Amino acid sequence: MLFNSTEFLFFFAVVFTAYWLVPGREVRVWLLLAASYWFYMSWNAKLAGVVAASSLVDFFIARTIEDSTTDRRRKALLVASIVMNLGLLFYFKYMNFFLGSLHDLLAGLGINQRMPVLDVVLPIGISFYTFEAISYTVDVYWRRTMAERNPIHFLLFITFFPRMVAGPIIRAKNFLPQLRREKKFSWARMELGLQYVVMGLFKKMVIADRMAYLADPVFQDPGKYSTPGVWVAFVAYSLQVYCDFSGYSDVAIGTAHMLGFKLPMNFDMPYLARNIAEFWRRWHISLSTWLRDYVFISLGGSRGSQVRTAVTLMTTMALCGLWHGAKWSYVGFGVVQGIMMLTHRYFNQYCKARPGLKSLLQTGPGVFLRVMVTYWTFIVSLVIFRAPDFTTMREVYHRLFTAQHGIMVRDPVGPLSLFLAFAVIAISHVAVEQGLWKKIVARMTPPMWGAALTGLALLICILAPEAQKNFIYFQF
Amino acid sequence: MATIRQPKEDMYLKSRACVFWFAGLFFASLAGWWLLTSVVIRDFWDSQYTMKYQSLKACVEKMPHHPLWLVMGSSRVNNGVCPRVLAGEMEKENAPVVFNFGFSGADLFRQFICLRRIVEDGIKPDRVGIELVGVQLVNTYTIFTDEAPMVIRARRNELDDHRKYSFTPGNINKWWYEPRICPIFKYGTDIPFQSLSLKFPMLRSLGVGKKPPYDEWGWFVMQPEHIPPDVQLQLNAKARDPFKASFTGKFEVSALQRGLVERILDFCRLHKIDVFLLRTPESKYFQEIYTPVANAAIDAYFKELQARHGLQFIDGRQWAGEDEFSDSHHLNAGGAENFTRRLSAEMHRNAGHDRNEP
Repeated sequence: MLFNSTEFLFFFAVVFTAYWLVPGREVRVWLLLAASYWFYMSWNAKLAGVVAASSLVDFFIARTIEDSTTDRRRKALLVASIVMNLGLLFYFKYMNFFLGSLHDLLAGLGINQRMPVLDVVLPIGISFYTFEAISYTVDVYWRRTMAERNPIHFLLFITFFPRMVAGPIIRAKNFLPQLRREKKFSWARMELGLQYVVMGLFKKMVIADRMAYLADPVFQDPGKYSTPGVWVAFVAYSLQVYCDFSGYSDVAIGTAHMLGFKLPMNFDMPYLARNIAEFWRRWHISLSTWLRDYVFISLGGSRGSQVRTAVTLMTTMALCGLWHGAKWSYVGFGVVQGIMMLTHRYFNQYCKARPGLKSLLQTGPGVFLRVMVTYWTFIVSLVIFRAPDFTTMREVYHRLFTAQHGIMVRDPVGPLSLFLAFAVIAISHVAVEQGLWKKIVARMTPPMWGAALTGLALLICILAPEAQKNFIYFQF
Repeated sequence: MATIRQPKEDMYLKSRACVFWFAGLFFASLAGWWLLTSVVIRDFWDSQYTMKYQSLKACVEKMPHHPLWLVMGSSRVNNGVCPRVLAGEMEKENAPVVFNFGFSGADLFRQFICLRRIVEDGIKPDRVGIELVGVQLVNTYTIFTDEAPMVIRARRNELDDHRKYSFTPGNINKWWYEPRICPIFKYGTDIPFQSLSLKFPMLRSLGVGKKPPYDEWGWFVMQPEHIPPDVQLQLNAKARDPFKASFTGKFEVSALQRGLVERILDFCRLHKIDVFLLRTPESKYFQEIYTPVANAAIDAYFKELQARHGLQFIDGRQWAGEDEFSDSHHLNAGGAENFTRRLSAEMHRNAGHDRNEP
């Protein structure tokens, strides 16, 4: 059941109505839990059992950690929880990748050893809820949060349907207290939720899916396309991946608001970031903060020597890449991000000793240049992320940076679609960043707001392409 | 600058008003859309039919006392029957007017539905040619009941028939209602604009919609063109290969298609419309897909139909030279002209010339 489907519209309408009609906090929690499992089971009923079982194990482990008095026992339980969660993630997501890589390695050494291929179905959202479960037990271990005593609340924390399959990754300390609070219907939250949902669907169905028409064919067979065609696809993909994922997050945040829950922001105008470190503070915020808190800092952060920090940073970013999928290209993408972060760190240190250069980079043109450099270097690295294999990646780079003949990529709607999409994203980024958006919203009367949202909703209907496309981050 | 905190009550009222405005305007827009697509423009989602029907109506109004002969069928008819070469003959007193009512992709179901609609809309043809070719007789050939962009073209009273002949009847309601409830253009971005420009012709001067690609006799206008031999080979294969798989195994004429033929014949009998069956030209390359077993089964079926219903059967498969095709089974402009002349001569045999009254 996709957010951009009629089925989800009906599902949410029923859940929303029932949720606000039934009295009592606990009844509502039960209702949301049932709805969340229904939502998950619409993909795979058996795997919902796996999610429930692993969640219950985490629930009891966390309680036992809290109740334990010896550090040794607490640590053993924490390790058990992490091993179970990462084991499940490894089995479902990385086992075949590991066996395939081992086969390639042995073949490279001249050993022809056949490896079995496991017939496993990847549980949707496993990367997201596994990280949530791990952060919960780690937080309980570090006594940053209390262990949840109500299993229904904990199960709902793991499976809350708006963010179950593609985030944002939530933290127990932010979500569980919301379940304990009495919920009152709020028109302000309704309005906010509606805005998020409409804008999220607009990003997904109008911009991302439309950009896919330009990007997908080129990344499937770049050899057919001319250099301008590959550039069009390359820029289109940068808009597609942003609008697809941030659109999903917006719908998740919006639907949660309508049910009285607040989820963390996942994107904050990332294409206006002035350096790559800032970019990762604005892009997939819930993942990057998770990696910062539970990997980077746990490995020592930036407290050690420069070399140690560099290794920690590279490890964190490589894991960030691997989190996206069981492919070496994702690891490569993470490593490239790590190299970019390190370059930025060293450049920052270089600038500290040169106040003239530093102040030059703070001027308007300097900031513009930094934003451009960050955007273009990030989207150049996105080719590694998007290309299905190494040969395609090489071909795309070759065609991007050398003049090649071939055909031009086309959008059935018209040649202006990339320009319009780019303009919409650029203007909205600048409007939000400069605070114009808040001013516009404050001045708009309810009829104007209603009309604007209606216009967006109608545009979604009109411009949605024929093929309903999955959200890119579902595969992760 | 000091900011004044808005009173909570005001914010509450503003948010509520905003949600209500959105809900009101959005649902009003949907209601307007429904009115436009279901009441104001009847065949909003079938601009293809509307375009042909408008031409047919103009043609009948121009020559009111002439008998009307319709040739129905797929793109083979759409491209291949060019009545304008008969214009001189048609102008003679009481000479029949031949009109091409072929559509791209039209299977037997679409032919039946369109014929019924034409009669329902007030034009009753005297003779109807139904295209019946080998590839339509396989069981899987039901494009108009099993593809969303085709189902949306239906009128409400045709939905039961769509369900009856569909392999996926559960989808019919979704496919039909969805674009009527919501302004969804995904089934063909051009259809809504085309329908609007047909209803309100002044919109065409503003660039909305395109000029219908048909001439006044319903022929899909094609210009003579030179196609390089290698491109021609590719076109031939592309046009033939999708049908190949249907003839590889054991072949028998589909019961579903037989049922459709019987319904068309019953309908024509009820409305006293004379019917003939037409097999349109196919290149030798295309004919290779029919196995001997398939050929024998198809021939036997045609003979059975002729014997049972006493129909005229025009077999035009071999009438076109290999250079008269734009691909392996669609005629080019020259081929269409030659084919139409010969078809006209065949149609005139065994035919009465009286005008049916609606």
